[in-house]
Amino acid sequence: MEFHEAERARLGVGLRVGVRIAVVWLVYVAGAALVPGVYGTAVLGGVSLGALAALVPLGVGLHGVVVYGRRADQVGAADDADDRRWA
Amino acid sequence: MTSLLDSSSRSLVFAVFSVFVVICLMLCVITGADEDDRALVRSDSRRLRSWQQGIAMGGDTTTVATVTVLVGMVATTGFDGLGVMLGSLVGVLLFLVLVVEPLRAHASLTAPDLLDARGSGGSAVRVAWGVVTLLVCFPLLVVQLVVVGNVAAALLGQPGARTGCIVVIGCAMTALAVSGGIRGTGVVMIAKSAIALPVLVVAAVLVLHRFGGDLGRLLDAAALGSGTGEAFLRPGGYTGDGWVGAVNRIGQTFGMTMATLAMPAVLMRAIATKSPRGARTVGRWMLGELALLYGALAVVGVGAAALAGGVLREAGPSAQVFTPLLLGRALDGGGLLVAALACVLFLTALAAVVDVTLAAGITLGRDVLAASGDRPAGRLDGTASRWSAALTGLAAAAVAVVCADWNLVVVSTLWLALCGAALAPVLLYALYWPGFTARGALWCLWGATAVSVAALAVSPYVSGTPTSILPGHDFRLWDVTIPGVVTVPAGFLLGWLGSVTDRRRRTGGAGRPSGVMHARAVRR
Repeated sequence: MEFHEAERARLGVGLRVGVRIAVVWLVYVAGAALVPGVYGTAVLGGVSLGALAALVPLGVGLHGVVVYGRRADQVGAADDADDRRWA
Repeated sequence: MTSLLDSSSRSLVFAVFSVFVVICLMLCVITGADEDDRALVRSDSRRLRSWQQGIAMGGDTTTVATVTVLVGMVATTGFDGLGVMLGSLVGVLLFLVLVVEPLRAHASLTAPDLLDARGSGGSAVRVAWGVVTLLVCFPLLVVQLVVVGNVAAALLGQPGARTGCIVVIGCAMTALAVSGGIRGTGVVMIAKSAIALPVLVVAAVLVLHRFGGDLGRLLDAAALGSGTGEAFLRPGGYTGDGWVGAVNRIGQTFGMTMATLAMPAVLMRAIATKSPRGARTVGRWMLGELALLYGALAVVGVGAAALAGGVLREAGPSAQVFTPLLLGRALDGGGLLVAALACVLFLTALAAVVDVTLAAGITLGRDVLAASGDRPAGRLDGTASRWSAALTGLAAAAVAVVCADWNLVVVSTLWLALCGAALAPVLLYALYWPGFTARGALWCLWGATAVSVAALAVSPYVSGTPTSILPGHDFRLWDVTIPGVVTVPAGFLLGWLGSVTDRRRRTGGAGRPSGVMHARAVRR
């Protein structure tokens, strides 16, 4: 794998994961903006739907960070293996 | 607010603060910048470990406004305050995934190095980035100094002491920034976190204990105590209702996320990490610290609404900054918790302004002043940054003394808007769009700055209401006070438009797409 290709692959991983987190976050924010009454509905022992729904973007974000780390390491490992082969 | 602390607690708070300042100064001198350090940012000999750098970066994201104003916002408006915290956390997640590793790989000392490496830089872009960064840092410094000056004067029980408090803290922060460099200020941040985090977690645990660990009971009590009832649990308490409220909410939460992507002090620390992979480790520590901190602050805010909501309502909006202290008094009549929380406020204020001063100084020395002439190298680079940090810190303290009585909400909104609308789009375009050019960067930086200033100038912050800066005039065009929904897309649009209409890009000239150069510029 050429050096700039490895870098491009790493950036591509970040971009895909980042767009996923941003889209989920925007959907949550749009809901809070457009239907605030629904977000205020108490659903679980006084905790509102909006507060519970906040776990979705946070969960997607945390999962994204883990996925990004794993895939970036895979790209790095492939890059290192390629370097050794041509050394 | 003059009876928050009794005289013995007051003495304890100021003794702890004084000892902290002295210890931090010693640590800064011992661990501070060496003569071989480049621009106070990078040392080839001694660097902070990844976990240390991560905790310092978490501290950079937490300003004194986070611990005072934001907690007050949670206590008085409920959901909207929690939304800002959530927006900041999502911003950190995006920062980890999109920015931290590639920024460390491409930038050597400041963020414009990344633009140079990606082919969308140049002297004009460097100056523009530097000026916008200063427009972000300077108001942030002034606002924080004013907030901490007000809190200190109230704790002393002498409103007239505010100017003295601002000057003392301004001088302390300048001394720490100049002597410490990136390594010394990192140590200050770690010391602050070691004190602030446990105190806030203990306060949160005490709140939960008071309600038997039942979150539902706590929220019910908060809704009752805040006086807003069920509205406490739904969006709109701060941002308002109708279409203006919807626009404000999107601007507030999304704008906060975008601003977190490009906070100058955080970028500076990301660049100073050991390696691109080390930057990822740093980011994980930062995320862990902030998750714990924001969790504790959220519980403290909601607990303040439940236990001290009536006092907060009576005292009015100006008392929001004292929310943690009011909660401390409600939880612990003995005053120890109030004293500990007061220490947290002071230490957070000092540590946060120190890093912002350093970031502003480095930007002024390396990107603004140096770009117009011959860029200093080696030891001179560090000297320029040192003098610039001193100048910035002292100027900010002087301006804070002058504007201490002004309504600074508009200034806080402005720095967040600039960070999210001007700096973040340029950073993302430079990293992820090979077609981004220097012209696009300039359009984005200057254009988004102009749009942000204009959006706030025609808002109720400036005219049309009794609390406006110019209450006697009315030239507002809309009632939106948080214009992120306009400024952030405008920043992206201007960056794109400037790049696609760049003639040199089409002919492969100086404005060529950034992907052409980046393979050579990656650092390991």
